[in-house]
Amino acid sequence: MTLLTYMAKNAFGNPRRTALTGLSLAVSLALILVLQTILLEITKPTGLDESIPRIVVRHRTSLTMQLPRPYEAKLRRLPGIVAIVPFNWFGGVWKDDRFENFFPRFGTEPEKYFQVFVENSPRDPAMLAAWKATKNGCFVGDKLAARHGFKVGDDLIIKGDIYPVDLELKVVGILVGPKCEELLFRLDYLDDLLGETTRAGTYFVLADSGPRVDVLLPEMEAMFRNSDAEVKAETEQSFALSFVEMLGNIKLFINALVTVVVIAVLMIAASTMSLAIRERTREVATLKAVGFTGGHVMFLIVGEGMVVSMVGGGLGLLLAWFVLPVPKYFISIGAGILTLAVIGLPLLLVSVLLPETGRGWYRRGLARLRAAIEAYGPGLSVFAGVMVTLLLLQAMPSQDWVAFSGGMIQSMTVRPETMYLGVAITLIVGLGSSLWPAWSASRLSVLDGLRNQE
Amino acid sequence: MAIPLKYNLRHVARRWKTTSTTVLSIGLVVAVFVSVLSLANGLSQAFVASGDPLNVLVLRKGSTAETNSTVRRADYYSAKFLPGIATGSDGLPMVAVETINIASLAKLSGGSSNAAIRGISPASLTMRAGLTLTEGRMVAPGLNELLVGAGATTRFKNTKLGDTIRLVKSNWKVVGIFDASRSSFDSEFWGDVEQLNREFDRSMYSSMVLRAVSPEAVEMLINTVETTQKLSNLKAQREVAYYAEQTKSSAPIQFLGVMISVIMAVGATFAAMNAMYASVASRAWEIATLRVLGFSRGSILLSFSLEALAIGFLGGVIGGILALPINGVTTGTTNYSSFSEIAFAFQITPGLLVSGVVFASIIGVVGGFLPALQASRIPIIDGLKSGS
Repeated sequence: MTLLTYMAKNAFGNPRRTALTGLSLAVSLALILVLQTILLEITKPTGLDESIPRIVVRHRTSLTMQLPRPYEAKLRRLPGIVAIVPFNWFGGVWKDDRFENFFPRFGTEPEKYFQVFVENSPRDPAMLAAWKATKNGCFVGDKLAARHGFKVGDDLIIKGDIYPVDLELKVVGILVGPKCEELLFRLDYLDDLLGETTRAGTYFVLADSGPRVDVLLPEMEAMFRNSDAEVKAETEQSFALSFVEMLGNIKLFINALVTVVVIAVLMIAASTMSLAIRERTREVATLKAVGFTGGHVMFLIVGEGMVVSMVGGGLGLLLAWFVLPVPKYFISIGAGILTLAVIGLPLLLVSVLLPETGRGWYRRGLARLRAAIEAYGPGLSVFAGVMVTLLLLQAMPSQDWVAFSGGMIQSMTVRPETMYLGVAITLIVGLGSSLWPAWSASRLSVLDGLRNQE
Repeated sequence: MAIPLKYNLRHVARRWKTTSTTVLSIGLVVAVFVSVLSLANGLSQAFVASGDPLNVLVLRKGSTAETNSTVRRADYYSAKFLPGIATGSDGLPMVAVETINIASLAKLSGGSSNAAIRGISPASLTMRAGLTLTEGRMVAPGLNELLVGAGATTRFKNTKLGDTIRLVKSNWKVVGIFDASRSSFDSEFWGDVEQLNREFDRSMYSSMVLRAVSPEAVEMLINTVETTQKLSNLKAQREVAYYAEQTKSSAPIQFLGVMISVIMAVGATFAAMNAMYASVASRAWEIATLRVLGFSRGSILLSFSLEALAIGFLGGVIGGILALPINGVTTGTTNYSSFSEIAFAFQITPGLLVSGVVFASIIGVVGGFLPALQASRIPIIDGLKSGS
């Protein structure tokens, strides 16, 4: 018998205990990975291409203040600018003000839009021509179109809230790109409705290179200093990040939660390990009596802790890796486990509480009922759980998280750096939970241990 | 017949090493539960505390918030003398026109955030009960002067008496600090409405606040505004109702808190199960003896469930104590209906602590159920044979 098989045999010597500890580690680790994935998704959203040298110019005071339209021509004259496009946040209400019916609606200019947002394109080149020919035409992002079933030719009415006018739009094109969640309409259509030239909320500017951006930012701000509308120019990334900052200190919040979960799981694992070792006090003493040193014993016990934590951690990582990215899996498996518990636990309770008294057919009937519940109860509840899972897997539409969360979550795919964190936590828990019991076992005196009666 | 609870409690105490880690891990779950929900609690409290029951808030029809509403000067003149409006100590009707502006200001913690800059009328201050000027004086009309809410002073730079803040094109001097009893006004900057309108290049107001003479007059006043021909572009509502609606912005935090706690609870339940299984396994002989003495399977089940309940309960109490220091810590987030920073504090209420303890007790009972079940099913002969 090698040391490794000894560790493994001990780790699974009480399979129920190992399973429970492993499961609690798996669940906690999956939770940590979910939180970390959400944090990364918020702070570094998928689909934001940092290599495109794009600048956002807005009013220095705040986003709610707008910039005069002639600024566009002035900015355009700066050297190193490839293209510039005005953007105007319309806000408004589509259908009703329920959260799932909210999506960004921007006023912009068709041709210039595609010059600046080079990663996006119309699904069909003819759509751009149609947009230029239709004043109340609009483009919808492919993801948004998929979520609400918008197609070319649809009529959309957006009720104004910031502006006292309603947009009556016709979908003329679908926008295809890495992150197309918005509706775009023509700014000159809004001008017509209002009877005046609107100002622009932001100007998006495409520079000819990354280094050029660093030169342009201060130049742009200097250009309008001491005017009635001073500007703030920043990279698209820092513009996006300023929205994340608005949420508050979300990083601290999530990191604090993760820390508490790690401590909790450490304690759970440590209590199990010390239980396991205490029950084997005599075994440890025997090992020492036959010549194993304190170091050997420590190594064996730490190894056992590692085996347990790796089983649980591995399960947690698998859970996060396969189940999490698809909402359907996530929900159907969760519902299956819930069904199992809801059916199984009451059945067990009934089988215990059925009285053993009475006589004749009454007593025999009760005994038979109890036997039946004990025989078929577990099977029945497992069957029900599996059926619910399978049924939901069949019945639920295969949406991604974008559609499922109404655009809130782009993707719940666990990233490599999050997986490394999970592996690190698994190792820390394995080590941390077994060090103390291992140390006290290594100092155990042979005599005391052998005398132990537990 | 029931087994005395003392039997179980003594056992819990004897096995304190294993019990304490289980209790602590349940405690941590409850600590997370209580802290995250106290965060949500504090945020909704900021909205619940805003507004005055006697005030009627008037916005443009079709607008969803103060930030996207417009009220004209003419509306103000038409509304000023409506019946049912209270008269102030200065003999003028208590009507305030206000504007809400957003300026990105430097935060104490670095970076910047959107601050709500409210243009106010002289009546604005007296119309909000629970709002007091704690330092300095009221702003003078026609001057670039600001009052800063107590919450805003904990979040933004340059908010001490005598500091200057650059808004759009000119500098503004802080002349007073007000305490709005942790309502959302606490996070705002207040200045003369006309002066701020010039600064922000706007010709219209955002909203109009009317004060009713009595609680009964509020509904009447709302009706009067709705039916007055000249005010047909406006809608009126209770000021408290407007802010109460915004409490929904704390729903995501609440949801997150419950989700995380439930998932953590699953882990803690397994821990409780382990501890209870070990407890049962070491007492097979005792349990069998109890059965011989005539205790039924049901009473064994009950007895061990109570033991698990005690462990959970203890965890709940410890979790509540662990969470307590966070009570009153201030933080901030963005209120999306006003697009500006709102400062608020973690708020632990007795009710929240009680639900924490209940939550922990549930964890204990669920975790103890299967082990207790096993205890109740130990065959008497096998138990007695296990010796020790």
